[in-house]
Amino acid sequence: MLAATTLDGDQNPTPFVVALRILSNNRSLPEKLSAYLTDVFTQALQVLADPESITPQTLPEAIKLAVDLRESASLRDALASAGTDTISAKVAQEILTSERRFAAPR
Amino acid sequence: MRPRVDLNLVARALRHLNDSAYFEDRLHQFTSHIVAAIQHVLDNPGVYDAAIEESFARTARSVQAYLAGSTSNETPYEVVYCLKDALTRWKLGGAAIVTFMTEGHNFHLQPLDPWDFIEKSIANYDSKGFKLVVAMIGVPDLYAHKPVFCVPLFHELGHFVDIGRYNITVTSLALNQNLVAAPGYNPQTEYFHRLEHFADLFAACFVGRSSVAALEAIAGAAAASQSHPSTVQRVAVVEAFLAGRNHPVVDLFQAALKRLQLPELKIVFETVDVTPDFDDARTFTPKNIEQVYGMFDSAWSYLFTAIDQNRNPWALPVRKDADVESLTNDLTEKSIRNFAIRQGWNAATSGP
Repeated sequence: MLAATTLDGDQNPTPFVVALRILSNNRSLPEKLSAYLTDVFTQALQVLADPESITPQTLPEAIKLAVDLRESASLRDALASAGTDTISAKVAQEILTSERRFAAPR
Repeated sequence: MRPRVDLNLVARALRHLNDSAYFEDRLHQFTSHIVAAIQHVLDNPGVYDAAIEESFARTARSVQAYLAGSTSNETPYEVVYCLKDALTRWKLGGAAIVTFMTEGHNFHLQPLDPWDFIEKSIANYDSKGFKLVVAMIGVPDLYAHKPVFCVPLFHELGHFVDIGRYNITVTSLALNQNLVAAPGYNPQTEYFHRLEHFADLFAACFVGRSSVAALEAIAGAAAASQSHPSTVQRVAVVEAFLAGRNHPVVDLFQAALKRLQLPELKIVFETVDVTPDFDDARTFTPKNIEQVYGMFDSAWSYLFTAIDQNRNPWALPVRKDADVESLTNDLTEKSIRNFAIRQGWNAATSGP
């Protein structure tokens, strides 16, 4: 919006958010969504290590996650220990919480 | 409502919409493909996770609302003509723009990408390669045919280019943590404030100072909030940019744009003066699209100078602000329409 408004709710259900919601409920991901999420995690760790590695092909969700990881040691540790192929419901919920900052209506 | 019930209702509404004669052809195709994807989900109960169905229903409801707004004759065609040209300059020439009529001063962007969602989440649906980028923008119905007052749509288009496609702001955050939203660092506020600055600068490239003049008119005294910088700060950034002065906020975005191999922020409009023509109640004749963009700032100044200085350019027996507003917007709208018709004619008659 052009002028100030209240910030509430997740009004933009992206595949990234949906994938995390499924994992946070201890359910398994469909194959395609799982491969996509692995790509996001892999690229996020690359961007975290070297922001100059961003290219036009970098997934936007990976850049957002890299920003979150940079600011949260607990999130970095959780993702590092879980690996990029599978994460726990707790880590998924933690990432979802961080992701909300990017989800306000405009 | 339950997602599958909603999906059924949305599919029915979209089929009805698709009978509209007001749609451009690719919106017909877009609607047909959305309906087919919905039908696929409805025909396969239990195949997709409840979270996928719920989010798809939410996405489909939004798409339906914006498509419905684009069938009526309220769509601001002249301004949308300009917005489409602006998108081509940002490598988005194939995008469609759909509008949703709102109340009050509610210009907004709906940052949804239904095809991205379908491709990644509705795994078994075959879209047969169809993909259409759609900018879904909210326009107050009061201003739909008031092009001078539609300058905030360029700000919303800036959000679309940023949030909806390239994530320029978030890239700027990854590259540079220097604070914009001082005092006190809050990551979320930093992100939101940068979003607004980018959209302001994007709009200023096309419509000049009228972009922030509209903001001053709507929220002139607004202090910084969690979601938006103060109006004073936003105006200062835009004015520095338009004056060609260095500004750290502008530099943040230029660095991100370079990294993403996108066009830099630069002034597109050509300065024009509509006064001689408008004083004679004639339309202005832009020589090129850059002068069409320049009209917005000139027409804004013309309108509010006339009101503030009590001008009566058309020697009306009784001068009313309402007449100044109405005639200025009408002349602006017709000037853009004439330009669009000339361009269409030239394109049709200058074939190989």
